[in-house]
Amino acid sequence: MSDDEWYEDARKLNLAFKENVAEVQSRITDEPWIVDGIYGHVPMDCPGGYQFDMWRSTPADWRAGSDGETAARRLADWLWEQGWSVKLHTYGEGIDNVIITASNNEKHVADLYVNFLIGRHRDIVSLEATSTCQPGDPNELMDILDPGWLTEIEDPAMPETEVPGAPPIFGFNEDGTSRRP
Amino acid sequence: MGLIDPSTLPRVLDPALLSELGDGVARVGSAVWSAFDSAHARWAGLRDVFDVRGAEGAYVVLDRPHQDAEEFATALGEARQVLGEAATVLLPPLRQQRAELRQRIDAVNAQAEAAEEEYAMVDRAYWSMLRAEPNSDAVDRLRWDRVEAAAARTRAFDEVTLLSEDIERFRDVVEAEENLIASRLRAITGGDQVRGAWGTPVRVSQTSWGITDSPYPGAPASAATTLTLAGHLQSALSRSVLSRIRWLADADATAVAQWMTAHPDFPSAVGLVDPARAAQLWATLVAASDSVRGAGGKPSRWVRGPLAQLFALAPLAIGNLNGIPAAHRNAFTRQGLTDLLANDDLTDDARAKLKELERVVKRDRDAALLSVFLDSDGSPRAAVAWGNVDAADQITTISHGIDTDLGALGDWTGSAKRVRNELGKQLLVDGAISSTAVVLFMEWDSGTSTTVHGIDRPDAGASRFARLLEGFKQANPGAQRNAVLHSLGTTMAAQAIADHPTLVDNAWFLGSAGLSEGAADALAAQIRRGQIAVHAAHASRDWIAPLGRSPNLGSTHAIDPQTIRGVRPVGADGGFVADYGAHGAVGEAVGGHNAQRSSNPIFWRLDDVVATPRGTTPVFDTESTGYLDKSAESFMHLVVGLAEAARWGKAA
Repeated sequence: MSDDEWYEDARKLNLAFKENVAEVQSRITDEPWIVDGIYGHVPMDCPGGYQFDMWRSTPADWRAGSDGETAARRLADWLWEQGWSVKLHTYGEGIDNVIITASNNEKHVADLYVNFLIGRHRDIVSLEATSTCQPGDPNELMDILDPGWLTEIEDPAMPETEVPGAPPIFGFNEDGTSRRP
Repeated sequence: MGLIDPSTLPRVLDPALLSELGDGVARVGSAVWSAFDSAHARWAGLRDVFDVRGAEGAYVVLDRPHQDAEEFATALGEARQVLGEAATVLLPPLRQQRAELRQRIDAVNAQAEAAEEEYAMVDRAYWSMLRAEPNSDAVDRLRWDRVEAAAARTRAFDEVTLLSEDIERFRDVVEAEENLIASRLRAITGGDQVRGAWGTPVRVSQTSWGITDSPYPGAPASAATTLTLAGHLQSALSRSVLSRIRWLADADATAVAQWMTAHPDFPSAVGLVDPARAAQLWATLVAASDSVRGAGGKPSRWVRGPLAQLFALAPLAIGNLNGIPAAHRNAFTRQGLTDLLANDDLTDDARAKLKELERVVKRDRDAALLSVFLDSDGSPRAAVAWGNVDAADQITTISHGIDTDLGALGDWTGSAKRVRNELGKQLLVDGAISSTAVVLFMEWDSGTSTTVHGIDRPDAGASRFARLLEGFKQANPGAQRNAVLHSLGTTMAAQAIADHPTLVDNAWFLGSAGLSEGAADALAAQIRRGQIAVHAAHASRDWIAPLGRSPNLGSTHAIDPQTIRGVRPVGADGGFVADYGAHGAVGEAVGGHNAQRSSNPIFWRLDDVVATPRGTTPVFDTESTGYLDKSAESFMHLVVGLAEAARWGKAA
């Protein structure tokens, strides 16, 4: 496989992964989500290959409009209808922290973790997603995605927020500009 | 700790004495030269009165001593210069510093004494009132007064500790300057060559070993020093590394490149430099270098001067320094990582680990690489931070136990990031305004199960751990410093905390492999003085941790932290955690000794052994919730504790 072919193959996985996660995000809000550091463009190790992960949380002024268990149950039901394998962790009556863990290999999402934190001062939904594992050396793929430099001085600025479904950055050119589909 | 005894403040030589000594030395040199010159001149007249064939050698017999006398006088003149410079340049600032420290001793001692007396008085009044009128308003008032008096006493004794540390640093500086003067004097030579009967030179040398009361065995005792050999070596290492960095910054580029190639272990020593001295060096280098500001808030690029040279040729000489701003360290360490990866001599294993480190740093905008180096057996070590350690209100450093190196980077970066994320959310939900940073410390070789009972590796790790946190103290003195440790990491950190009171404000020990007796005693004392709050979690299904502290297996760190007075227990067997999230949550039981949910290595999955008619059969889980998994009760307690510490200073 040539470098270009491999780039294209990895980009398709990354795009499919992010589009499917974006569908989940949109069920909660379409507003720009905060990127919690991990954008989701760097291949990481998994047994026999590479995978992507992304961490997001709801915007600062977002409110759930309901208690955590109702909001989570709504999302869990939707995920189940869409063919996801879903587990809803609730802690009993009166305890508003609820966590959904889910997976859907057909949608290229090996692990989905959604935590509804409904609080006195803020409501926050945090989401962590990990893609399925693809065969290939993550280091070699990284060399294709990110040619040349590591020094922080030349690092491009990654987005601090992103609307679900926006064309994701995937890789960089030699001059440091980002590549999107 | 009691008050500071002023007599322990190191003495500084009187500059006037050195000037006088220099003058005397010069007079001796002049007198010797003048006498020999006169004798040599008169001896030249021998030819007029003595003419013996075959004894012409008599005419030149004073030539060598005359030349020696001239060289000796010159040497004594150099010695006078050294002594004069010491008297006018080196010693006066030290005398000034000593006077300031002496004043501070009186003030700090007085403050501590007053705080102790105030607390004793309030304490007596409180207990007396409690016995007399237990339900009165006066008891409530006195209870609050007692809390405030205790806090004031803690603050006062923290000042005592800080001043003691400043005095020790001053002792280092005094000894360093005395060593400098001594080494300059020792380097002087002239007219002192001992020659044998046939004129051949004879060498004389002195060697000493081991701990001595004086740094110059056989010499008159200098200022009283209680520096151990280890402390002396550490101080010497710090000074020599800094000297080398100064040389790397200024020397010819080719020589620098050659030296760095010949000394691939140098970056591993940089992190052991005293952060206060590192900060001074950094300030000097910045003043002598030019930079251009990066676009869009990027850090500057160094374009001229020593920092430009160091960035190009020896970036880890700066990147690995503790005590300088992390934003600048990050640029240098990332360049250093690029250089390491360009080295064809890396083993496949080292390359794989460094490449993963590269990806960890690149994938996360919040990540900063604080250090990276290859240790003495070529294994890569590193420390990574999430969040701004230069400005955060709270810095929490996490470290691991045995059988863990950069090969486990994925698991441990996940834990570090998760602690920061969940803590950040907890603070937001609670309406608290506090910025936090989390650091993953993987600079030490924690060994394996065959070395777990020793204390050498924890001690070595403790040196680096202490420097890292002292570096945070230097660069961000107002930040609270917390530590979260697993297994043998608890042993390591306890060694560091024991030697450095006020290094850590709050510590969590998860599945501890045990503490040494000395560390346990020191921690108990620090807890009593309110200098640290320590929490310990041990899951009942964790059968590995007790093995690490078993004296029957030869453990040198057999103290279970849960048995130390004042250490607060943290639940790890599953249960409700009040205040986690908005209204509390139920955490899962930790299933073994592991820090992260894992099905490897196999012994963490071993849940039980059951007897069957055919013998014993192990019972395995497919997974085991780890101490730092986000669903674990221990993790939830940790997040709540850190959030509380961010708000109140100490976790309850």
